[in-house]
Amino acid sequence: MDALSRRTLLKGLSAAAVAGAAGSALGCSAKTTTGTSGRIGADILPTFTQAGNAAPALKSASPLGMSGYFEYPPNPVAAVGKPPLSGGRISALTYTFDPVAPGKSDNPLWQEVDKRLGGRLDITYAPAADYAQRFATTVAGGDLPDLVSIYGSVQQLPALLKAKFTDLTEYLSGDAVKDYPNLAGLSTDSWRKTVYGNALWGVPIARVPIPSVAWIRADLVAGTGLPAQPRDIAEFKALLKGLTNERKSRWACGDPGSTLTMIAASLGIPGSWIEDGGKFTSNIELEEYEKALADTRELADAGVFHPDGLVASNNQRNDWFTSGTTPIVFGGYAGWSKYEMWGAEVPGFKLGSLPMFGYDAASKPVHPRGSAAQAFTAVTQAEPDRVREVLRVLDWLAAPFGSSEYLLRNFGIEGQTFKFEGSDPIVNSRGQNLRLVPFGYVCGPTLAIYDPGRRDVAQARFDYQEAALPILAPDPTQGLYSETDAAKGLQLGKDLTDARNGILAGRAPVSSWKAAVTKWRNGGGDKIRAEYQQAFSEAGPK
Amino acid sequence: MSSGIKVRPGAGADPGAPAARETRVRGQLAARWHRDRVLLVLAVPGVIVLVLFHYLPLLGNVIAFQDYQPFLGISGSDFVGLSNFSVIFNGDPEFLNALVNTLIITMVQVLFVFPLPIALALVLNSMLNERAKRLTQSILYLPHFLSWVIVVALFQQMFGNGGMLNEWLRSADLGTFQIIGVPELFKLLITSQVIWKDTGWSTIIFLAALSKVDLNLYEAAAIDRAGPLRQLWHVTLPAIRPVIVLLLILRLGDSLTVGFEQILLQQGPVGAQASEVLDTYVYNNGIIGGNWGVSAAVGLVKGIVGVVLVLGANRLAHAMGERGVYSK
Amino acid sequence: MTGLLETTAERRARRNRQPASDERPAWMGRQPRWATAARGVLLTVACLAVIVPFVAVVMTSLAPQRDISARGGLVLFTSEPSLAAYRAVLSGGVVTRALSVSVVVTAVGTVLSLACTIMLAYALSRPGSLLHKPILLMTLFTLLFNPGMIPMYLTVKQLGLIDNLAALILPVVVNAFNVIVMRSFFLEVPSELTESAKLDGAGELRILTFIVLPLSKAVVAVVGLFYAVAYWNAFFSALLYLPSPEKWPLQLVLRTFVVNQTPLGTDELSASTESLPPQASIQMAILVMSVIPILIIYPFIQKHFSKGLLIGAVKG
Repeated sequence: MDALSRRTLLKGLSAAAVAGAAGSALGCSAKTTTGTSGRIGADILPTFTQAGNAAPALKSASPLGMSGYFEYPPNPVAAVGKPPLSGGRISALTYTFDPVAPGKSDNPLWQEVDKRLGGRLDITYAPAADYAQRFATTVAGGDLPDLVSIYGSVQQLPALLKAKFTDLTEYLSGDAVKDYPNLAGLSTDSWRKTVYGNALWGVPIARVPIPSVAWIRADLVAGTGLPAQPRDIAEFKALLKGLTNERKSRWACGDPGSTLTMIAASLGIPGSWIEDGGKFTSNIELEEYEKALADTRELADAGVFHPDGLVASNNQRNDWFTSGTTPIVFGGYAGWSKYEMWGAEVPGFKLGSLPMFGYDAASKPVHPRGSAAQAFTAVTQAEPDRVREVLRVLDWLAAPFGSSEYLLRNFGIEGQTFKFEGSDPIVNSRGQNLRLVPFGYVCGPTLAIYDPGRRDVAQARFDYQEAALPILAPDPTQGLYSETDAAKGLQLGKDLTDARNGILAGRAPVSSWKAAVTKWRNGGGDKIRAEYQQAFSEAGPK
Repeated sequence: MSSGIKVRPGAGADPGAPAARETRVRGQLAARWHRDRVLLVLAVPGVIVLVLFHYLPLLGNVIAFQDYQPFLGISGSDFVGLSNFSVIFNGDPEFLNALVNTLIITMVQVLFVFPLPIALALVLNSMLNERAKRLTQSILYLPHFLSWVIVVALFQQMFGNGGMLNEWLRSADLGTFQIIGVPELFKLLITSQVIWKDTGWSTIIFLAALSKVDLNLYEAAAIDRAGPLRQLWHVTLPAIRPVIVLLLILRLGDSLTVGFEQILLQQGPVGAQASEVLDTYVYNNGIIGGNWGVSAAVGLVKGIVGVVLVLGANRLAHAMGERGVYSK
Repeated sequence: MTGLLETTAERRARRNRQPASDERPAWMGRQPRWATAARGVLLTVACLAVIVPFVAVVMTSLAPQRDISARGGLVLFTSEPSLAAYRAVLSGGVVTRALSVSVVVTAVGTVLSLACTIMLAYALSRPGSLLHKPILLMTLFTLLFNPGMIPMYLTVKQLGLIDNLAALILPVVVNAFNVIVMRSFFLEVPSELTESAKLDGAGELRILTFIVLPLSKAVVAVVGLFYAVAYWNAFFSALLYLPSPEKWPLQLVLRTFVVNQTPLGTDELSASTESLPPQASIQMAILVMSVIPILIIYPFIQKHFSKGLLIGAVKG
């Protein structure tokens, strides 16, 4: 297949971006768009309605965006009228990124949640890194709890869902979701992640689809005369080269891979697949990708990357950033506050971010797109009344920022686990532990930008979001399922990463990339493409 | 040792009296049962545990021949014959590369890493100051408890291209010491890490063997005017030879396993050519996608190879006059 | 000596006869100076190679964010040590409870394992006995073939052990490697002793208890150590078989503190990191806490495989 030329690519992208934005802003309407975002499952997606009534200080222009609050809305009220359970018990299996929380018998916060629910919510969980094993053994064992998190790639997922879980389309699709007003507040894009075979299979854990941010030590750049906010590739390269001083053991950045992604994004290349007229092309097949690869290799040869960059863990890269060894780091958008916190200990530390720049004047950059849903929670097969009961519990858990339920789940009980400073709840050390219960991974509301006491940080996060969301790369695979991708995607990805690292480390020439792509195609890439195209043509408006 | 019935050699070959032979054999069985029943009773708890928790689940390895999906269970998953084994047998050059790497690393480890704890145990054993000896040993075993994640991070901090050593070298304009990220040196890197981490711990079993050496033998050797080297050769080493041979055989049986997490963590900068071993190859080409059938298939193949290696090594040990793991 | 077992008086006499620890026994030649010096250098270098990283680990667990950021990772020295990381990990009581679970599992498990292993190893130390070869081969092959994770889980589930602490012990109570090693040491016991005991009319149990075991303190200590360490470090079986986090052992609980080893890194805003001490110092604190109990009990075990215990035991 020929690589698309840049002109057709940009034409297709901008159309899709516009259509996508229009589609999600209206929250419905499959038929009016040609773009991919509005197409998949649009006739079954829940109608979006803003949940809660806390007025944000910063309101996002995009329905995907988080609202920003400078202080916690005072006098929080309950978002859910009556308790969802009447004495029953709900069990859930989920993952967590947090340390273990005290068990229910030692956890007044959890007990209070049970009280407000009107029954018992029992959650068993495993560390996210090990969740796949726990999930597999639980499914193999046959005793499923009422709610199960589907996280990571699972083989034969549609068949698994059909065999063990409930089709939620009739309960949640379109206006049916009005019975669960908090669930209606989850972004439409996040619901797309739960669509398989034109049916809804779960409740998503919604996230802002901004994966990573390029942070920069503004304090280390100030005064050097280097372009702190590069506007094109030339300035970007100059910035990186200027920040490197090998003799002093300082390099611009510790992550060649993410730099490559950024340069590719500046050329307008999205994260994985591009759809044009029903045909799918992978980003790695484009000539622009090779161009980005060549540029990154040039930077690597110039020595701007930390020599251990390819073997370092994220922890180490963050340490390099905080210590100034690498003034640029690529980290998760959600970790903004963490960088600020770590940097508070470093004298002079000032956190800045690099906006997405255009490769040159003619390029239309995109911001890499993450996933709108981190995972989703499926409901085990049960009687319709039971399913409704379970959904009501999920609705309670999704009570939005500013509600009293949210306050309870995330901050606890006033006087015991937190106290108010103004209207901001400040958690004490007991509360830190008690609130580690992974409610939010079973179900949770859209996140909000809230940094108590740090107005500037909240504003900076919000500004970044507003700049990034309009130029988010489209993802035509949303709502589509490819079995080969689920079974072999990780393995193929590893091979590609290996080839890419070989080029960036100088072991192989840039021209070897074509061979890696051919290997990918023969190893399963073409099959994945065919499956997505098939699913795409089946899913759209007839 | 007396038993109930004495059987003359060749007596059972009398074709005209099969009934008599039966009685004799059954008698022999009964006699052995009578003699050994306590031993069998002693073996019962261990055997039950092994059967219940090892052999019973081993039956589940039937998934090696299936496209196993947890939600379908063993009975519901499709039978796919030998296609899970194709990961190993399809002649993929990357598989062969991984196999070669694995064998080279095993050879290096058997030749260079295996003898080190023995040598260290002997050195420790020769120390006169008991307290110093115990203290030294207590320090040297510590790295065994670090996880590979930490060991890799430590190595990188010290010897990485941006690590402490190189930082100092660079500031003094002395060039750089590159061991991480150099494909040719990868095997050396991981071997040195294994040596640092496990040598101290591995001396424990040899020290236990050394502690059982009969001191009378040393006295006798001294009377024969044997110096320390000859005492080592004629008293010490023969005394611990059975343990050495035993551990060597078991290590050979495990030849195809050369470390997984340690290598997986450090594959990135050197590429698959230099660093892929059997376990990481299977991981990257099967397990990572949740392919339970492939992982079971490879486990079976490794097990069979291991059996062949152990039995072979054991026979070799017999040829050299050693008892080995088991004798005839 | 009439019996084969030492009386207390005889033991005391033996200890008095033993040379003081620094004196070399009569049969050992004088050790040349260069050999002693070389040995000293070698061991000192080896110890330093081990100690320096460990000092770094301990120091990092006590270091504040400032120092860690300045050094970019591990620190060798910090001017303001603080126990914040330890306090953070131990607060909430979860880790303390996990610690007691681990202690109980390790203690019970080691005792059970030693009992089963000693019995099986002894039963296998009589070549020629009934079923000797089949049982030995059966034991050996468990080292080479491993059941998969899911079949193991299904077996444990069938036996009703899910969510039961026994699931951390029973599936691994016998380890074939330890059995084979112990058997090898049992085979070394001089046959004259066992033969003469048999002539005295002793049964297998008496031989095991009064002859073989006292002479095998070294290997029992070593195998006990191996089992104890294995139980102490176990986390994967807990992950699979124990849904309730209240029953989790120490290693699994500590594993949940180390968030950033996953590829996600800072991608997920976890609730707890708002005011935690730096990840690096928590990681190191966890490590130190896991190693300390072993450091404490190790000397008690070590003395069992030092030289000197057997002087006079077999002499007439």
